[in-house]
Amino acid sequence: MDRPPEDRTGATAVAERRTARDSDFAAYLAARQPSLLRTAYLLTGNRHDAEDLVQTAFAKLYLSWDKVRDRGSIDGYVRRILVNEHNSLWRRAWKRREHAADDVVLHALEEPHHDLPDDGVGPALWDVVQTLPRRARAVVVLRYYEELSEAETAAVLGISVGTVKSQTSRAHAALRERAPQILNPRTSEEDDPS
Amino acid sequence: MSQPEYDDLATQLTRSLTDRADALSATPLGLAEVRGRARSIRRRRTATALVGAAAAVALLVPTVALAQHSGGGSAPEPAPAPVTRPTPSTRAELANADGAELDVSKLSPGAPPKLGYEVGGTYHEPGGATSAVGTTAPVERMAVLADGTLVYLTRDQGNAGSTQIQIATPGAAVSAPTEAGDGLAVNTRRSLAVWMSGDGRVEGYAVDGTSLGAFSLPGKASGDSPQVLAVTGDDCGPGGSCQVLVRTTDPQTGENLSWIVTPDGGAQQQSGLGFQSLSDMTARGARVGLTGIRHDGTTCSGIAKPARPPWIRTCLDQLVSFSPDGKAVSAIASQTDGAGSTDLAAYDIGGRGVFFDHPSPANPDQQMTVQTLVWEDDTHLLATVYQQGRWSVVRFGLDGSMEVAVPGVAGDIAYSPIVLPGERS
Repeated sequence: MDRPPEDRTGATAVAERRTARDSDFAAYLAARQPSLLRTAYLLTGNRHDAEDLVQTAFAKLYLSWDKVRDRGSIDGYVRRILVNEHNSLWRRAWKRREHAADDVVLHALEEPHHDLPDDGVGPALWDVVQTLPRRARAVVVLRYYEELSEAETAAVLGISVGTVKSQTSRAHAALRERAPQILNPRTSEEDDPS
Repeated sequence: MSQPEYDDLATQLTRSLTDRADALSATPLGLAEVRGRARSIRRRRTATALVGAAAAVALLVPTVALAQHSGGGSAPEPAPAPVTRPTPSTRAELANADGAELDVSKLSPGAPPKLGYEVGGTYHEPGGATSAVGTTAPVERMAVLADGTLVYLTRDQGNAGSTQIQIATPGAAVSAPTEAGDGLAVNTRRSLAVWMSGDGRVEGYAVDGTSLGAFSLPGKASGDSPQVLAVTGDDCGPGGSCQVLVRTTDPQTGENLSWIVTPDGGAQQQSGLGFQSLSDMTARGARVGLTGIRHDGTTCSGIAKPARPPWIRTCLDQLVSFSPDGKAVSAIASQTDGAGSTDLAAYDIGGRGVFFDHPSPANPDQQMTVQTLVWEDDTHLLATVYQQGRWSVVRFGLDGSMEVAVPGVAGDIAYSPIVLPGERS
């Protein structure tokens, strides 16, 4: 049975609007996906978790797409979803249960390939960053990779600027303590009795 | 010479992280995959809201007296109400009042909030008068004390910004800013407000009691990122009985730690109650907080007293804070995203289920987000609600009623421009 013309018109309008919406979202997804994946990778430490995190963040953004009227704020919004998702308690528990057994395999398969010459500092710092508590790692990534200000970092994480400062200071202390010879090679050379 | 070392380390960190990230090849995540994950999330939300399994909710017959905030401390505790209906299997069975969708555009205007609030640097008094707050940075949280004193927690969005406290006593200009940490809490009688100092101690301001004026508690909660969540009692002076709930983060594991800080110098870690983290407490010792996080990302919450098992547990919603009389608990969606909650509810801790549950409309154009909420009195909640590019304050009655308390203000979905006093987010 044919629907009345006004129903067809309404259905067509809804379909057209949905198509336009998805097209709009797909364009944003394509443009921002690589950048967001890189941030997620630095937060999680492996590609598998990073891709999962990015997919969830974009899915939540997709569900909220119609609510975000100010398109200029989307980058900050999706970054906030990503970081909050990463910091949430359940992911820590999930990781402990699901990934403990195959961490070694995942790292072996997912380590990005480096063609750039390396003086050894980068990998050493990366290793230490990965040992930082989750929130401190998020502060380091937002401050030194995303290059957000202390205030912007605080806003994304929902913490005070003072906490950002203390987390940064603690991260610096950990890096200096765990990788002193790499961060200050002259000191280690001077200390070397040989 | 610490500065050169700092700059060098910062540069090396940026280079290390950039090299590592740039080496990652692009991933072919398509719209179909995102939509698939979105459908999965939506199904979970729908299932959580409409078909919550009986096992997910356990309303236990309270064997202890119900909790009360300090404001009602001298009154006898209400008798525990028995469970009067079978163990619910759906939210519809739980609801005993109203489960209407929250669509601000369809609500009638109501009375303005009983307590003042702030929008864009302007303080709105309950009577309708307005005045400039005069703080040096935008207001993030505020507390209104019984004598009209206003306590502002501000956050400077500039590069050199910080979180600070500024106080405006009646008839006086706002005080000079002092460095502060996270959180601002006020007791039920609104006789005192507390916050974290820059060095992680509890500081506060009282308008009566032995701690009149500014005070500081000697005890210090251990851990990173201390945040004040709640305060009970009326006296934070020496020998006083106030208790301040503080949450910190374990520097090694990143797990949340909950502490009660008291005027005698004590800082007692709260453990052994089955909570992963606490969000509120009453003067009678009742606690509310997260009890677990499930694989699908939804949370479970509970209400308990020390040394007793939880008498309410639910995975349908995330329980947040006690009403002033301690008879109800506000709740948001079990799983939230970066912007806030798509669901708002209030639970009767007498065991009769929920007073109301208002989900976001299914129509994408009408979807809403609740970002912050505060108890206006024993029977009403105020919440900042985002819908269609505007932020409003909506009043929710325990009888299921809804009305607009502050009309819509244009704003970014990520941050409500309206600051309610004593709000929880």
